[in-house]
Amino acid sequence: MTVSTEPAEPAEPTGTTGAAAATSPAGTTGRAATTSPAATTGNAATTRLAATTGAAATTSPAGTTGNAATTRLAATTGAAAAHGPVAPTTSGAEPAGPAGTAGPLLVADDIVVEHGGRSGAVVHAVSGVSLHLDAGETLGIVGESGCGKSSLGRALLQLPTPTSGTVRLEGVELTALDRRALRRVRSRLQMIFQDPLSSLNPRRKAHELVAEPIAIAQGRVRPADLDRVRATFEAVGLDPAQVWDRHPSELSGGQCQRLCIARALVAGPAVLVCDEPVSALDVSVQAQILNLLEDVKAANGLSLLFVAHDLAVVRNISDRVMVMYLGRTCEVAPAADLFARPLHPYTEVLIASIPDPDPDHVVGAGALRVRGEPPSPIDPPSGCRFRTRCPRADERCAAEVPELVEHRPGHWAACHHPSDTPVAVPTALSALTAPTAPTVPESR
Amino acid sequence: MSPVSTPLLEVDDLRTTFRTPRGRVRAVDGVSLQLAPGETLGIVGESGSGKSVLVRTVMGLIDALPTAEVSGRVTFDGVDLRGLAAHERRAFWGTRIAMVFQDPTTSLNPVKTVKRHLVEHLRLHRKLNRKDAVAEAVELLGQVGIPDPRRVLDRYAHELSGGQCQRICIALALACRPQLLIADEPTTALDVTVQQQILELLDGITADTGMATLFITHDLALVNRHCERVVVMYGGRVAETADVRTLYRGSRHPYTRALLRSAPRLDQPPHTRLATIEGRPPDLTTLGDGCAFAPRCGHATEVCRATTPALDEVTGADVLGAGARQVGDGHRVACHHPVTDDAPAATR
Repeated sequence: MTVSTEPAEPAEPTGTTGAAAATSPAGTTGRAATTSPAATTGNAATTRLAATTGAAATTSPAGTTGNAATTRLAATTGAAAAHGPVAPTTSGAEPAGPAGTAGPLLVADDIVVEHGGRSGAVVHAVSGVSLHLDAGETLGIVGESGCGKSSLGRALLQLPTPTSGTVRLEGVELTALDRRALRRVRSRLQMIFQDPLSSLNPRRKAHELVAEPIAIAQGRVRPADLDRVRATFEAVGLDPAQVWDRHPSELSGGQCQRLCIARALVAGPAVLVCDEPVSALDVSVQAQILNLLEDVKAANGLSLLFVAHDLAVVRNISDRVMVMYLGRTCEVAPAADLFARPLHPYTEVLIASIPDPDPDHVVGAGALRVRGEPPSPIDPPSGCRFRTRCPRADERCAAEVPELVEHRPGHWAACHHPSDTPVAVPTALSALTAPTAPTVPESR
Repeated sequence: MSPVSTPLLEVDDLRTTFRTPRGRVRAVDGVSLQLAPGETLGIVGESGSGKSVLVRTVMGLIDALPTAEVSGRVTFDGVDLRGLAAHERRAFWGTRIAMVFQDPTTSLNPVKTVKRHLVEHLRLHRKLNRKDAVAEAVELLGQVGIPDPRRVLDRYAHELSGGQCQRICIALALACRPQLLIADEPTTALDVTVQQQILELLDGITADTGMATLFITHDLALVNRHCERVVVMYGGRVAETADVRTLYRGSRHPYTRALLRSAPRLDQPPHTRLATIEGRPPDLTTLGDGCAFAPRCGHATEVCRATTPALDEVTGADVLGAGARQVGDGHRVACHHPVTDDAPAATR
């Protein structure tokens, strides 16, 4: 089995275990203990869920990072054999994690999201996208509005369940779960939304909002749990004494987003899906929240799925980046490689569209430009969906859907005419980036 | 720079105050600026910095509000705009001063077709007959890069994409060949590839017609690419103003520097720790004397909290290296402790 390879995984910070122990509610252990015998019968989705809950509970006392995954794998061998957690099955499948590690934490395979419109028109929001997320990894998903990046993020959380495709978190197949089972799994898969103010109930106080996941998990909030809430406030940089009894409307946008992050953390997640978490914030506050996400990720051993339209932000926070266009994957690659040597013309266009703050930096004459705007996802173009705006498109692009192919190790692109010219990176901020001249105090 | 030519627009000590249940909000607090014909001036600031209220006051959209108090002078092409009666001021709107707003879908009337928008505008302001107005409308749509303009004429705003709506708003704004265009976050609601197209369109029009532009945005990078001069606003006041090169290479205000450093950049490796500005933008109801940025500033001292810094000219001697010096004039900063590269962080 894959158990032996587990401890070799270096990506997972050691901080995980402490956090897991602190956050895993006492009630979970009891439930896991009673239900885990069912796991041995190897039956339905609920069984696998029970096994996972058990894994979470057993990890905390065991105190080793590898243990959770081991238990998880042991409990899901049946499922793994059927689906194959690592080897991509279809040609369009997303690249798997590096050899020698256990299966990824989150695997989505061939996700299709279609919304039925009035008059029978179908919006093809996501058309067969696969991805995986390793433990401790941040995967960025970028694209313009309407490319399906948010639909994909929500499909992973079963908000709503995708039209077709599979989502496995820690070995548990989410698409088959009923509502009650899903509710329990969601504590491991939390989401942060774009507009922090509208994602918080305006009538609740700050501490009630953060305690809500505990109430959902246990049915009630005990006085001891409030200590955990207080600790979480501090972990996200909110002063409990100051904001404890405030309503969301009394807090700034940045504080509300911290509150949303606290609420996600208190549930004890393994994966945080962040849907444009900083695009509603001012530039100066945006940097605070991005740094905070990096901090809580390290402290809790989280994996992040970071959905955003801002390439500079995504590049900064991500280990790998996936570029989407009109419901399909264009390119997936390690962040630095994607921006230095993009293969897909759409990626090149996106990079060339980022305004460079240096007024003297001349945009290369060879930079790709596109005409027009993305076509409607109701009636996407045949073949490659980018072909209607692509400077390199020909007959083949209209006829054949390009497959996602690995051009370099870890660098996948779906294009009939991939380029391989390195892109000039914008010049440095000269004096301003000099580390000797900090003009403003850095946060924490 | 502009002293040679007479400014097209001159704003002098403009103040806009709103009475709210929570107290008086000093949204614009003594802002002065000048804009030469053909020049593009960027106004940068975070939300609440007063940049949008500033341009709306300049346009004359604020005076009529019952809760607003405005003082100061706005001179456009030699005319004191604030001294005019409402109907006289209207004669400037749409014809000599035009405005493009952030959200293109809500600035078009949802029950009017594109044709009605344009034709009404052209008949009213340019006194064209219906036939000529339609022909001119097609011409204008072509100029703003709308493919197949005749088909788009019969569409409603909801049938068009955000980028197309913004092109139509720009066509409307340009219909009377205004001398001044006020663009309030014209690309913020648009995707990056479309943003690029709209900015190139505006650049082209400015170059062709000699129109002056006030370009309001929160994004310093956009300003640096599309403007000649920048005004950085904070807490309703001007923090710093300079030409884009001086501001980028040798900004003196701690806020400007922090703003430049806090945005993630493509030339940094992934997971680079971002420089942040502690705290949050000021509450304009409680803002009194002293520098508005003082509570968040690493250089702040007693004097910063007590007296509001004046917007002083940066003197040549200590400005910058050679190349920048000839463009460095017109560089003004409102700071008691302007940052120089020679003395980094020493004042902390």
